[in-house]
Amino acid sequence: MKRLAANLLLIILSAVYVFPIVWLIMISFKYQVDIFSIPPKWIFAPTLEHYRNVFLNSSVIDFLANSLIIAVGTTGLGLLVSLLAAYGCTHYASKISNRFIYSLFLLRMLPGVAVVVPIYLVASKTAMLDNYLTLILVHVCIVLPIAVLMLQNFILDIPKELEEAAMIDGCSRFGAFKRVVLPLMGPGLIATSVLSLIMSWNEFLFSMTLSGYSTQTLPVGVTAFMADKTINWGEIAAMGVVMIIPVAIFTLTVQKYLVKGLTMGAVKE
Amino acid sequence: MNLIELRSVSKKYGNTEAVKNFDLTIKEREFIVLVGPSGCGKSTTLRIIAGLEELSEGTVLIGNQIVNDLAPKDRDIAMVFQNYALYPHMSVYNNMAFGLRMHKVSKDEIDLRVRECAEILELTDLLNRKPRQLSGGQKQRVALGRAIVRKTKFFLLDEPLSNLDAKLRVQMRAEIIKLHRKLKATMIYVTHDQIEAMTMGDRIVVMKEGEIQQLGTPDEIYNYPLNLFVAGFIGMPPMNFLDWDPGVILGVRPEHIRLSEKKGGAGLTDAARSSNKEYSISGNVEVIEYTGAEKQVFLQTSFGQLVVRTEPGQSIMEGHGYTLSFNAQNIHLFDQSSGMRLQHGFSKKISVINE
Ligand SMILES: Nc1ncnc2c1ncn2[C@@H]1O[C@H](COP(=O)(O)OP(=O)(O)OP(=O)(O)O)[C@@H](O)[C@H]1O
Ligand SMILES: [Mg+2]
Repeated sequence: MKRLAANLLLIILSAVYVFPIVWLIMISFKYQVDIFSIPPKWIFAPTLEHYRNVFLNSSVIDFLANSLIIAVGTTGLGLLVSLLAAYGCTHYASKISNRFIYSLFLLRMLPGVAVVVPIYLVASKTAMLDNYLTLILVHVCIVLPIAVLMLQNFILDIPKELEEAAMIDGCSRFGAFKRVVLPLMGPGLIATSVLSLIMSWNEFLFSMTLSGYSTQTLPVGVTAFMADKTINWGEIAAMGVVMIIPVAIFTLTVQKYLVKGLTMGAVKE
Repeated sequence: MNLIELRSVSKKYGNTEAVKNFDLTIKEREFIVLVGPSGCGKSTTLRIIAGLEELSEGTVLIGNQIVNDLAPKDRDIAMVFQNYALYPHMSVYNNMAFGLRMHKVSKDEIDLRVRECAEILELTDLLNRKPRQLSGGQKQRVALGRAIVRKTKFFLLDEPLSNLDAKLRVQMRAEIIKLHRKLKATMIYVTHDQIEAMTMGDRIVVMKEGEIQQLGTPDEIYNYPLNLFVAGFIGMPPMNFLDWDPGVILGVRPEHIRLSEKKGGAGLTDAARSSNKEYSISGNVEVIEYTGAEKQVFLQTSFGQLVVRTEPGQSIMEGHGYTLSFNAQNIHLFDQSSGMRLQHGFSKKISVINE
């Protein structure tokens, strides 16, 4: 009985999460007339018209490439910086380093619109608009606080005696980090990179403002289908589907590495 | 040459002082045992010697060289951690081989040593397992193996046998002693086990709240405890303490008391008698615990509860009155307020030992 209730709840919850995606996919295959029909049609004659429009009449391939470059760059650089920050703040913990981690969140507490104009001005004065590096750096700033906090939790899960044992066995601190901490950080690094990838992939405000003709990302590209008088929902939905696919594939592939308990057996419970 | 020396070493964690003003000189090839109640700073002392803790005060010397700032990897030590700290992502074999690889030992030599060590520790069948697939005792043997395979000058062993069954523990104890002789290494050994402390240690350090209470051979610690704490801590069951004279506490070990049938039956009326040679008091048996090799008899006396160890053959009955007698040679007198030993037998005996 309890299980039934739990399962029911799970079904309802997943419906809530899955429904918009299903709706999006459905719209992307509907003719314009069906999209607006009331009541909504569950059964309809499908069309690839919107996909054709998206791929033929827009630079969606370029957007995809830009999004990919920026998201991967953000994830790589963000992970490197946040891993070092998290490790440093954990092992040389002091009042200052603890505050440091929380001060990173100040960055997140500010609404993006409050900083977008100053950043735009700086970028434009330094001729850094429409530049991958600018977008990557800004995205890293967005991802960093959460990445540091997440990674710190994963580092704290590794008993410090493991590193100490490695240091007694002949490693330097860095050697112990490389040989013992890093291999045990796998799931933490994967979880953090999924998050960082998604955050960068979906980021709109800064990408919109700081990108230009050659660096437009997918979320920015979508706006091209919002004309003055009409909004092409079919094309927008099709592009949404295109956007979801790479992230979904990545997440599903790495999911199996997201296991807990890599440090099991290391220390006496 | 004195190999390891701690000079007025202190270690504070915030407000708790884990190790206080610690002075200890460990001789070359010595087997030194640290004992003391939980939280008295034994592990911290080992970690200080290993170089894992920054000192709050003091100096650590290894071989007459100050090593305060020397990294652990440059100290030529191996350590067994109290909580094992096995590398969870490596097999048993690789856990043991790791340190040797770091020291660029040749592959053949590593294989030889790991297998030899696994043989001694009865781990041969487990070499391919991961730590999570091992029982507690097996993990502990891997932790021990990871240290002894290194053949370093110094070994720091933090309760390395605590999780083994009685039989294996005796066996491993012998192996460690053998190894100590064979490698001519200096070993610092933390234990809760009285028998380990007494049988393995060249010298024993008794600690309490971060301070050394007494440092001496097992014989000195057992026969000449310097204060009430040491007297009560070493020995199982612990020493009996009687409020003998005002301000004086008399200690006598359970194994030094004889029980004899009391004339005149039960009751405590018979007052304590003492001559120059012999002390006797009367008491009533409350509980008898039979351990197989001996009986531990708990008696109520006018000085409080006492425990006596007797031969299992001696017939003793609960509820009966007995006379407890012990030789004046076997008593320990302590000052009640300071807890310090009052007799001077200790220093006399020490000078004899040193000659
Ligand atoms: N990292 C730490 N932070 C704060 N206090 C600590 C830390 N490590 C140890 N202590 C404190 O220092 C004291 C000594 O600890 P230590 O681990 O050396 O005790 P121990 O003698 O090994 O005890 P046990 O027999 O239980 O292992 C304890 O009071 C402990 O709470
Ligand atoms: Mg300890």
